[in-house]
Amino acid sequence: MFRSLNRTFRLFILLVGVVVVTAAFNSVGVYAESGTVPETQQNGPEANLKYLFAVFILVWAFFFGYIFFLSRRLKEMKNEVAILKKIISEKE
Amino acid sequence: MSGMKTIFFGGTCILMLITVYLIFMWVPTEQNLGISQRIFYVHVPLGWIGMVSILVVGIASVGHLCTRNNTWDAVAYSAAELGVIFATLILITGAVWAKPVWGVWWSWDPKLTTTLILWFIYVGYLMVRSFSIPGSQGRRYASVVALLGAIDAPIIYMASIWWRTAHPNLNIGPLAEADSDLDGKMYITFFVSLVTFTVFYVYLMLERIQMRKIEDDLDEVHQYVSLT
Repeated sequence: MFRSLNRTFRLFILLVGVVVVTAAFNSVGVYAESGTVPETQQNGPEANLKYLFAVFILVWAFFFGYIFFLSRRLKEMKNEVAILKKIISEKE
Repeated sequence: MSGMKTIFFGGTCILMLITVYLIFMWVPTEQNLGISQRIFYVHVPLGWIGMVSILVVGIASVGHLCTRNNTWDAVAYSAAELGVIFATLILITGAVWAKPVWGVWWSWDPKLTTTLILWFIYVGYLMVRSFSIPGSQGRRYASVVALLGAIDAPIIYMASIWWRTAHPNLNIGPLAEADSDLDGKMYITFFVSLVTFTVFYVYLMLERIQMRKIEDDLDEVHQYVSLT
């Protein structure tokens, strides 16, 4: 169950990445109605976009790392169960 | 449990895609802070979950201290482990946002400082757990640490009211101001993002609690095998 979810999770992250990159090239030109800032003042609508990307990359890297940690721990536990089964069968 | 996990996982996938679309393509750019303000839609939900998580650890620890039931302990441990990840992300995303807005990566702002204390509490809890021998008093000592840590959550929340801070007024929770300065679209995006990360957190909790119970069972079998 977890292994298959893990694979789905990887695909999901890839999909989110594709959406983020696609969106980045098509967006962020819209300003709030309450007041538009001239582009010169903001150095263009893409000013500070790198910080937004950095946040998304870091957040998803952390979540991916955590899922990876969980899947490794699960693998370790499966090995432990196998060893324990062997020990018990030898004792019997 | 497995059906619940599937529902929460599916919900996370759908909601996360909607959230990413809203943040990058739908919500308007804030006039003063520019694009970097969009970090808000990730940073604040992470902060919210970081605070909720320590409360979960605290409540589950009380449950464990009162009943000695290991399920409470599994909940507390899982929430602490997830809490340290979310607390780390609050600090990192906050620093990345602070740089373009304040011009510095870090300042000893009351909200930042109390959040850093929260991070140390989470790490302290997990260290007490990892250094204690299985079956010893470690679980109960850690529960006491969690109870002390839970006090920090309301302090973080109230920091912008009690002290002078660079953080804006409260946008979430019982004391959030009704006349929030958020644009309608901004508020919707923020709310969707908050729900998304909360659903994701619940999914991770379900997954981790189940694993923690298996880890406990394995420890018991190890002890049994070593005794016989």
